[in-house]
Amino acid sequence: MKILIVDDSTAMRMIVKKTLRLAGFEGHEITEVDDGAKALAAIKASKPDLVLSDWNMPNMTGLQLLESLSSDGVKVTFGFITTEATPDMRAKAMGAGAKFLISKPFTPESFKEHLGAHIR
Amino acid sequence: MAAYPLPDAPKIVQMLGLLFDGLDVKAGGTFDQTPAGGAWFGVFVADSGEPVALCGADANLAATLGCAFSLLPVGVAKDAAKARELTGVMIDNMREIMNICTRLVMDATSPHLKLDQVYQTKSLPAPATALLGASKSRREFQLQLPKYGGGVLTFLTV
Repeated sequence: MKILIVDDSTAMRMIVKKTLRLAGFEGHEITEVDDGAKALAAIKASKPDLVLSDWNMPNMTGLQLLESLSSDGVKVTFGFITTEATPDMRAKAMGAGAKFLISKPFTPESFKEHLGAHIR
Repeated sequence: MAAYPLPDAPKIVQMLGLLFDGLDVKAGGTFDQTPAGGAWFGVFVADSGEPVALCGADANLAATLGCAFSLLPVGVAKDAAKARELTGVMIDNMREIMNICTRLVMDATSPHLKLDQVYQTKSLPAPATALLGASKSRREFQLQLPKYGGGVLTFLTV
């Protein structure tokens, strides 16, 4: 599978990649970008199977990214990995078409729980 | 005043161990917070902008983490520790690491806080310096990374 990680924090991208490995999701083609605008271009160009996106990012937020993909007719499995998740954020994410929202403290177990149905 | 948690050694390993393979953390240690000591601090602020927590890495640890994050050579870390100065890349890396440390001074019940900026001790803003001198809640830890070495990490909250 092609998995795109979108986060403006280098450290958080490292943590997401390592947590994916610890959760047993290995052998996938993982790429990363550091903001929503770059992600929009990358998704259209490389058509990943799964996008794991932060919520707050410069240039284009994760929610704006998801809404742009939807309005452009781009179909991709999209979920949020974010340090904070209010009920309002969760409702907006799901309303925009996100498949899941993983919030802190995320662990290999929570990755397995949320991503197991989406990563083959 | 709102309560912000302090981490223990297992929590630090759980979080920073995702960034640094083989990280060893033990409670305790003596932290040099003198301006000449060359420590680096992440300053965490509440929504009001008031500093409510600090995370400090002494000069040795700041050089270690700042280099290891980008897999810079061990010799570069030792030179930076000796000079008590970090390069721009190392400072950027400290900002990344301290941003992750935000999660170590918050929990499900604590008020929101965020990393404001990283500073060397001598450059800390006055409110952060005041917190450094007056915090009643603090913990020190000795961190060691394979090959690189280590130093002391401290957490302080209001």
